[in-house]
Amino acid sequence: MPELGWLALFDEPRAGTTPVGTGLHLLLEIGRAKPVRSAVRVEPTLIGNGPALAVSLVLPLRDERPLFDDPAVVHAMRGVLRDPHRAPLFSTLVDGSTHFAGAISGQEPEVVRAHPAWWREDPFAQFGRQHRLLVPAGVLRPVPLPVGPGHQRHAGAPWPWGRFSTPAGPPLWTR
Amino acid sequence: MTRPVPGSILPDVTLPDTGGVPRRLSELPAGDPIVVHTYRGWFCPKERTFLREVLLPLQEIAEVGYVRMVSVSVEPPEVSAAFRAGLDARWTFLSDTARSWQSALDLRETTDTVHDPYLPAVLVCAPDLTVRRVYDGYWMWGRPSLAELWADLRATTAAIRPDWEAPRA
Repeated sequence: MPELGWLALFDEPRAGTTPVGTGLHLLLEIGRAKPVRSAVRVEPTLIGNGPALAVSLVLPLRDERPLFDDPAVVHAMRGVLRDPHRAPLFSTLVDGSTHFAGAISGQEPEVVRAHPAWWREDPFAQFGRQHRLLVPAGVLRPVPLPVGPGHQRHAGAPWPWGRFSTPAGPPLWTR
Repeated sequence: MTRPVPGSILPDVTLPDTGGVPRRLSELPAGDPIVVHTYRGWFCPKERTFLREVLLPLQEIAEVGYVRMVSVSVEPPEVSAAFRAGLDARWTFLSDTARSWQSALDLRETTDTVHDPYLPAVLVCAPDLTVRRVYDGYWMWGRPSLAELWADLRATTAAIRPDWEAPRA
C-alpha cells in the first residue's frame, strides 16, 4: 500500500508543524492515516529536504470546493501544463474522490521577490483563499512535473501526480 | 546505431526540457503509453503543419486519454520553449543539442547539412519504452494521421491495462 502525503494549515503551533509566516503553521506528513480532520492529500514525493520556498497555498472552504472536472479547474490545469516551470513545486490537493480541495505552488523566494505578480498569477487562486507563505528549507522538495497533456487524475491521486498500478511481471502483451 | 522498430526498446537518455531541467526519458511515461515525436525544427513548414493538424488535435484527446507526449529536436531549450508556447502545446519538448540520442537512434536527417536536424518520426511506445509503432516522416505522407494514432493508442492501451474490458457487476 503506497504512503500518502498530508497537508494542513493552522493559525497556532501544533506538534509537527512548521511556522510559515503571518502566524500560520504548516503540517506536512507522510503516512496512511489522516493526521487531523482538516488535512488534505498532497503528492508525497514533494515532502522532503528541499530549499526554502515561496508558497502559494490555495485552500477553498469545504463547502465551496468545485469538482475536479469543473471546466474552470480543467482550464487552470491546462495553465500549469502550458507553463510547467512557473512553479518548480506543484500539486493539487485532494480530499475524497471528486472535489478539488486546493493547490500548492512553490517557487524560489528570490524569483518571487523579483516578480511579485507571481502570487496573483497562480491559476488556482480563483478557487479559494490564497495563503502566501514562506516555507523554510527542509520541508518541501521541488520535483519536475510529470509530462502532459493529461488533466485527468490517476485513481484519485493529487494531479498531475499518480499513476495506475500495473501488474507485476512482464508486459501483458508478452504473456 | 539502430533505427527503432516495433518491439525494440528506446535507449534511455536524459535531456533538458524547455526550462533547461534535465528529464530522463524512461521516467516520463509514468505508467502510460507515450507518443515520442522527433522533428526537424521550428523553421520547417512540414513540421508546423504536422504539429498543427495532427499533434495539437491529438493533445485535445490525449489530455483525457491517459497518454503522454514528448517532442524532441536539436534546438536549444529557449528556442523549443518559444516554439512550444507559440503552438499552445501542453506536452513536453526536449532538446538534444549534442545530438547524442539522435545518434543512438540513427535519426539524423542526412539531407539537411545546414541544421543537421532530427529525421521526422513518430514512435508510439508502451510505458517501458517498448516501440509499438514507427512512422518515418521523411515524406509528409509517411507521417501518421490522427485516426492512425488513435488506433495505435487503442492497441497499446488495451495491451497494458488489465481492466481494458470494463469490469462486470
